Amino acid sequence: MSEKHSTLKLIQNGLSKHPESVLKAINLSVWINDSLILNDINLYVKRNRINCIIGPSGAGKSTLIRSFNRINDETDGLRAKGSIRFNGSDIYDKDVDTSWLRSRIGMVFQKPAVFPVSIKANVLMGIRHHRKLTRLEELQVSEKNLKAVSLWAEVSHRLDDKASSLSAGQQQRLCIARTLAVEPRVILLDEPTSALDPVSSKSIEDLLIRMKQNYTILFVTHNIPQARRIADELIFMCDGKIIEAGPKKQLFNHPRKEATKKYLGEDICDC
Amino acid sequence: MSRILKNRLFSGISWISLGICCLILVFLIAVIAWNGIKAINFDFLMSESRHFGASGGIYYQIVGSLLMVLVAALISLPLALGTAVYKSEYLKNSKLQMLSDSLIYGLNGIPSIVFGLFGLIFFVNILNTGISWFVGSVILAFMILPTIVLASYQSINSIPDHYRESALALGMDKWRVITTVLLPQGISGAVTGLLIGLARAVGETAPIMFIATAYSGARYPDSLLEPVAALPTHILALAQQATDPDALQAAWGASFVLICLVTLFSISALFIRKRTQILSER
Ligand SMILES: Nc1ncnc2c1ncn2[C@@H]1O[C@H](COP(=O)(O)OP(=O)(O)OP(=O)(O)O)[C@@H](O)[C@H]1O
Ligand SMILES: [Mg+2]
Repeated sequence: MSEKHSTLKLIQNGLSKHPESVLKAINLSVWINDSLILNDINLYVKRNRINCIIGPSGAGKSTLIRSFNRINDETDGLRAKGSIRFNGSDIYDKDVDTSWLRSRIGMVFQKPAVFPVSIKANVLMGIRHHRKLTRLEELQVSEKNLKAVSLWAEVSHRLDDKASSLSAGQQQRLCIARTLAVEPRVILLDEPTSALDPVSSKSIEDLLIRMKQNYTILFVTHNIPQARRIADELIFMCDGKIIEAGPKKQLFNHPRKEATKKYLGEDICDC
Repeated sequence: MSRILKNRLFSGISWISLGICCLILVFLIAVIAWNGIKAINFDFLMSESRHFGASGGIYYQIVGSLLMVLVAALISLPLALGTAVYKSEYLKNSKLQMLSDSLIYGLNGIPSIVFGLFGLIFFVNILNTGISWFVGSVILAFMILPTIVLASYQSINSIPDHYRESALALGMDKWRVITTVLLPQGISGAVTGLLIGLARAVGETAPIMFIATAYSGARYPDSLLEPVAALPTHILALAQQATDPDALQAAWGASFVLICLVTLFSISALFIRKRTQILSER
């Protein structure tokens, strides 16, 4: 793949080749059962920022974000071309251990999926697979990560209760906590608040803003006000393509493309 | 006919059908219980049968039946879980899915006497095992395998995908996802299927009568290759001497015990099914 060509593309897309990007997609195309879902995507995910992918339903946002930790490998009939670079090396290389990759690039889904075990066991579920913990470490890891998602005060007295006894918003924060416990560098979130009430959504938004100091965040939403509230970088997708990408202010105030203006202004997409 | 009348008619018919079903069941159980309970006492349950069952008890028949179905359970459960996991998590090709489905349903449709004949030809004649309770267990295990496979497959397959993906996204390997997330859920289905299967297996005569049981004199087996006594074959033998009132009485008693075992397995299956539907419910 020619680097020069793709850099040119990125500049056209309103992104400069930023040295601070940890994760980049280069000329990425994805087919599912021979229909083109992602069409030649070039995207730089910026370090310690909330990178927010927006776009109408069916634009390919989930397919794109799911490519970054190769959870897409599980999808039947999916085929990808191009590359995704994480700290410079291609995650689709043959010798990449997906288990390792996913411990570096964590993911939170739309519906919180807590396992039918205790709250503490949920936090430890992932990390336990990567290394052995002593009793003391187990407690420390639980406390640290539950504090990080502001859940500690609510659950510290009942760590051994079933996780399913928590509210949906609490469950989603628990899912974030168990992702953090694995100590990833990047966190992918696919519409993590769309199944939650406004108050829980707000607490997750606040959490993400705090988290960006330590993590790189790639976030999918189709809620424009939410993107306006928390995004640093915006990536506007439609119909499998990136229409425009850049700092939030630029896209909201001086979009280069008519389609961007229309989508962000009126929530209408006619691309 | 007015719509209201039609509605009444249909609900009436379905009520009557339900009533007939229940009545038959209640009638059967009542008759067996009524006749059987008279035969039941501590001695009957705890002593050896004598005079081809006409006197004495059914202790070794109970032991033999339980031994065979419990070992059948031990054989079929891991096989079924493995099959269910493979079918649900690895078998992606839809043609192979269909093929495996038809094989499993096919196995389920085989008449039990055919299992018995297969055991007789393959184990007893070709492998020369002789009459062996263990061969009986193996045959019973084959027979109940489809029930357990289907029940565990359903409970594993009904787990929503975002549980699998969440576990994988934490960096867990596929086998780890299977053992920590899917199997705990699958096992409740498997055990439900197992108990339903056992309820059927414990009452079957045909698969074991040629290959695993002796009509009299069998006690605790010393090895895998010895016959045992079993309840259903014992009842068959007693029924053949029904002119003797003592034998008839013992037949009622043994039938009652058998029905109790079947009910026990079925009710436990129901209970487990009720209790564990954690993941698939949300
Ligand atoms: N497993 C699949 N099989 C077939 N088609 C798929 C599959 N997953 C996604 N698609 C198709 O890919 C396109 C993009 O889907 P994707 O889920 O990435 O969109 P999205 O932007 O996340 O939408 P939403 O906002 O509704 O979540 C859609 O047209 C969808 O029908
Ligand atoms: Mg989506």
